[in-house]
Amino acid sequence: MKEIVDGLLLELRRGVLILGVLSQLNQKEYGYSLIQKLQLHKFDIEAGTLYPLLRRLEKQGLLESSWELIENRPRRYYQISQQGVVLYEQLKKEYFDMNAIMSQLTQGEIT
Amino acid sequence: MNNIEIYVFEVVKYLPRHLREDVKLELTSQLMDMIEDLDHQDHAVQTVLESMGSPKVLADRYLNKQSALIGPRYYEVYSKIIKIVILALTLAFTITFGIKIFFSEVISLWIILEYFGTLLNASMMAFAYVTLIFAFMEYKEFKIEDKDLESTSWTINDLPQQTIDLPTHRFENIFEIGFLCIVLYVINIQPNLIGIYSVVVNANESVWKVIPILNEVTRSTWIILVNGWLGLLLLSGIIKAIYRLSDHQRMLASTILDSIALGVFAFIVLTQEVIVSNVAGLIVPDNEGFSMMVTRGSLIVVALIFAVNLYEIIKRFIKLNQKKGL
Repeated sequence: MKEIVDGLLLELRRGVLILGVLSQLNQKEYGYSLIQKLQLHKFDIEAGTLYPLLRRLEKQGLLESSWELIENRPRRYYQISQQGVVLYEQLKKEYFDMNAIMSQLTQGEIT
Repeated sequence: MNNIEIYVFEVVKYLPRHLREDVKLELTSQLMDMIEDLDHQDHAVQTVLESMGSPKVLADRYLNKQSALIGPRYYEVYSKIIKIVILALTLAFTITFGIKIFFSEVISLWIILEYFGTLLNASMMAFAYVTLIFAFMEYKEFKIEDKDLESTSWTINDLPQQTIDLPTHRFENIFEIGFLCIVLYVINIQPNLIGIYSVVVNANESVWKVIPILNEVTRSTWIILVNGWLGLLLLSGIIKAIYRLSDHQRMLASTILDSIALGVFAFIVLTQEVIVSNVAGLIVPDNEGFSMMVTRGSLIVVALIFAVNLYEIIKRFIKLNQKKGL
């Protein structure tokens, strides 16, 4: 039963993963700093999930990246692009619309 | 080489060439950030790498793994092998048809049309066979990966001791695959071109002639075995080129295939009459000394080929056993 629950919770979270990531990239962040920023808001995401996701979003044109040398270590910084902002607004609206619908659907107890 | 470097290598080796350097740099930087954030340095590397999960799973995420006939895992190798095979076939066809035209007295449009028609037909068959092999491999890996690649089951102890050298050029065995395709084509489609080439001087002209040396009388018995032998070697060559598989898997599969191929080769040499018996007589008729020299020389060459290949196979099996024992 625990595996089923964990699997379904994962599916639920996957739906909002991109929205959550895009919401924190209005300023430049690198991989680990983004994880810490999301954790501050109690949004847990595994590094193994986030890092490939960032590359994928960049490939899709939703993020822009640049390399910076900080303390002799090259770091890749990501920030939301213009296209990403447009998509983010669409996703955000859709999320709140769905949230309102789900709130209505889940009112009351299941008997 | 430290575990971070090995881990990163184990991830990027599954990625297409153009992504490797970039992902290597980025992932290394990200891992270092995570390790620095942990207080107890002794287990920091282990904690971070195990939180990242199996390198293969991580590589799949970078590839944005989706279900496909031939997905990104194998596509790069597949497309390169298709190109090699079709290039080899085109080369083989062009050479053999060139020879055919050279020997024919009349050059007709029919020969040219036959060339393009046969080339197209063979290319489509080769494309189908190679696609089938890779689709099967994609299917097998897709079926087993759910239970095999759960990130929670991977630990730092699963990392190899050291990395392998990825090829610096496209394929190390590009010549092997191309050559085998050409040989397969010639033996099956134009066997009469394998022979002794000579110039026959008549009154006013010299004419090129080829005397085939493959035994057409017993062809029906040896052709299947020879195709099987060459097919095994070709499959071994293709597997060596697939870096998606682990070193151990590649070495084991290719060694087993080469062993079987060597066994088939020995069986062919000992029991089949692939070459006509009087080859020496075709070159220099009625010369017993020359005949004996050719026969003994052939036996020595065949024995050398067998011995060298057997030595290589034994060496690989010993290496595999040593790795298993580590």
